[in-house]
Amino acid sequence: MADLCVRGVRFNVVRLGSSSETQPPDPYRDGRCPVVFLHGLIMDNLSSFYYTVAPAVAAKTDTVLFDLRGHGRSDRPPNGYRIEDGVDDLVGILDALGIDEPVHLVANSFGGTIALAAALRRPERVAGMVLIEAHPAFTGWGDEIMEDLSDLVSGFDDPGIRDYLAQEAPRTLRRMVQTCEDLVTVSSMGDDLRASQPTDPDRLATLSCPTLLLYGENSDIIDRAYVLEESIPGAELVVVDGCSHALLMENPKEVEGRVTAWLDDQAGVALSRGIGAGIR
Amino acid sequence: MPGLNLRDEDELAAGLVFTVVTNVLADVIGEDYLSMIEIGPETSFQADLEIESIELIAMGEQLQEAFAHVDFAAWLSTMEMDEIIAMRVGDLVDHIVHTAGGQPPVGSEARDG
Repeated sequence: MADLCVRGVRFNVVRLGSSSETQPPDPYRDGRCPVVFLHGLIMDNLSSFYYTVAPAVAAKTDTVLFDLRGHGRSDRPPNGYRIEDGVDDLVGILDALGIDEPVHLVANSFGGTIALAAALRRPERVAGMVLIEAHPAFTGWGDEIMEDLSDLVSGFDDPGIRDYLAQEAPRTLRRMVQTCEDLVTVSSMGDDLRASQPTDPDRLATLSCPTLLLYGENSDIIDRAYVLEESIPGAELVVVDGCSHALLMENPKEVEGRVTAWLDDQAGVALSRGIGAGIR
Repeated sequence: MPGLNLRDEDELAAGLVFTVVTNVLADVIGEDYLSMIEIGPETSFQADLEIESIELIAMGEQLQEAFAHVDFAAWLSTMEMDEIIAMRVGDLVDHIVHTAGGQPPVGSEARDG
């Protein structure tokens, strides 16, 4: 599994399955949904979940990771970066994979922006969400994020930095800077994110899927955690000590433990409902 | 293969695996960049090839198609970051050659999905 063409864009998709022969028996097996991981903006790609939480999840259930458009090894088209596009890409990838049942979304930062929009726009496809340091697209969010990114990119224009990048910088760093510049200054990402439909806190009250919120104690967007906790019915918030917005990288084991325990809980609930309804 | 002792067979397998690995690397990292570097068993993924984590995953995915008997995702996930950083091409070849149930890579038909 590598490339999938969806909505005219080639996506790098990695599907990890549960190799049940090598795993201990899983009492929740029949209650589990597929899990889809959504990574963060610009510098991020599917590797941040692949090397942290994904293996533990893949040991239990069908697991999908993909690079968002413009990121990692997916195509970088000049446009199509509205949050709504992110939702359509996600649904298109699920369709292409033949996954029509609702999935659990495990999302980091900007991935959470897409996950929230997906839960609002396509609730029939989302069984639940784990939002790690999610950025809800509240009014003004697009301007805020593009201002930060423009500052970052203008920093590359320093002549000393240009020389370093041209001559001695490792290929990985050069590539990262190139991706960043392409997305921020060449593609329509800035305009698209600003033109995206904002997430209305009142609409979050209509969400019915179970939601776990994971934030770092020292996160610069911890205020969003409390708004989400208040707005999403039944949302559970866990604040991890000593971590910043980079929670996933700073304490991957804690995140893995929280995610897998939550997925077990959801599977347990699904099983008990199934048994109650006489499905099994 | 008559006339070959175990050591020869191992060397033959390692040679074949090495060829597949270098072909996959050329595809994943790009022929242009790779043409500047001579790859051998001692070539380090990090220090010499400057491989990105996302490229390592893509390499694992492609190798999975060639060597169905090795679970590359599981293998990578058991490694600490410093082990991944220290990994050399020869380590990867050894792992593929010495994982039980191996078949010659050429004409491998044990491809799923």
